[in-house]
Amino acid sequence: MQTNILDYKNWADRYTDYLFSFAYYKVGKREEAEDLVQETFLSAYKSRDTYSGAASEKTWLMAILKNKIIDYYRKPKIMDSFSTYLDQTEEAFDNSFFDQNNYGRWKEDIGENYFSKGSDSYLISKEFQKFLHICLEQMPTKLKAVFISKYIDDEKTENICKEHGITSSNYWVIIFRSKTLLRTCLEKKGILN
Amino acid sequence: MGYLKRILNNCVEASLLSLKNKEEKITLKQKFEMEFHILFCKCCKNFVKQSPMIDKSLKAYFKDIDNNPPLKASDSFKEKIREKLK
Repeated sequence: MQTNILDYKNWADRYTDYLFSFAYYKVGKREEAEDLVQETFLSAYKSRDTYSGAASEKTWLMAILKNKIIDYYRKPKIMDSFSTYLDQTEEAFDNSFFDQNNYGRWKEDIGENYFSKGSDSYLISKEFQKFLHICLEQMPTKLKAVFISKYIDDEKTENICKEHGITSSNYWVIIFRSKTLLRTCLEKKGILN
Repeated sequence: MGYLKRILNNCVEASLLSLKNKEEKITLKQKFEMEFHILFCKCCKNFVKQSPMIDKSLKAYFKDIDNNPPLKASDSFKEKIREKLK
C-alpha cells in the first residue's frame, strides 16, 4: 500500500525561505508575509490527510499559500487602499520626475547608457542583481506588491488586477511608477551609466 | 499650437502608454500621439529601450525562487514554525 507521508517536521527548514520570499513580494510587508506563511504551514498540517501525493510537498504548500494570498487581498480594507494610495501620492510622484510647467516632460534627462545597450549577461550578473535587490527593497510596498506579481509568477495582467482588486488603468499607473522608480534607483546606483 | 506642444512634451502619458501598448489595445489616437512623441523625445526613447532590460533582470531575479529564494526568513520565525510543527 502506498502512503503519502508528509515530512512536516522538516518543513520549517526546507520551505520557509521559499514561501516567505514569495509571500513577501506578493504583499510587500515582512510581518504579513510571516503570518501568511505560518497560516499556510498550519493549514497544510491540519489537512495533511488530504494530501494525495500527486504534487510534490513544495508545490502543494505553494498552492495553499497562493490561496491565502487571494484571501488576503479580498479583505475590503486592502482593496480600497490601492486607489486611495495612488491618488494621495500622484502629485508627489509627478513632481519628483516630471516638469508640471512643461506638460509633464521628464525633469532629468534619461540618457542613453550602456544599460540600454546592455548585454543580457550583465543583467543577470551578481553585481546587477545585488543592486536590483537594494532598489526593490526601497520601493513603496503598495507598488511593489502589484508590480512584482508579473515577474514572480508570470501571472496574466487580468489575474493580477482581479487578485488585487484594482482596475486596469490603476494597474498601468502602478507599473509605470514602479518602472520609473526602479530605473531611477538603478541609475543612481551608478550602474546605468 | 497648444495641442502639438502638449503631445511633444507630455512624457508621462507617452511613456505610460508605451508600456500599456505592449500588452493591451490602446486607441488609435493614443497610439499615434505616443509614437509621434517618442519620435522626437530622446528621453522617452531611452525609457522604452530600458524597460525590457528591467523586465529581463527581474525575471532573472525570481527565476530560481524555489531552489534559491532571494530572501531569508528570520531564524526566530523558523524556530516558531519548527515548534508548531513538532
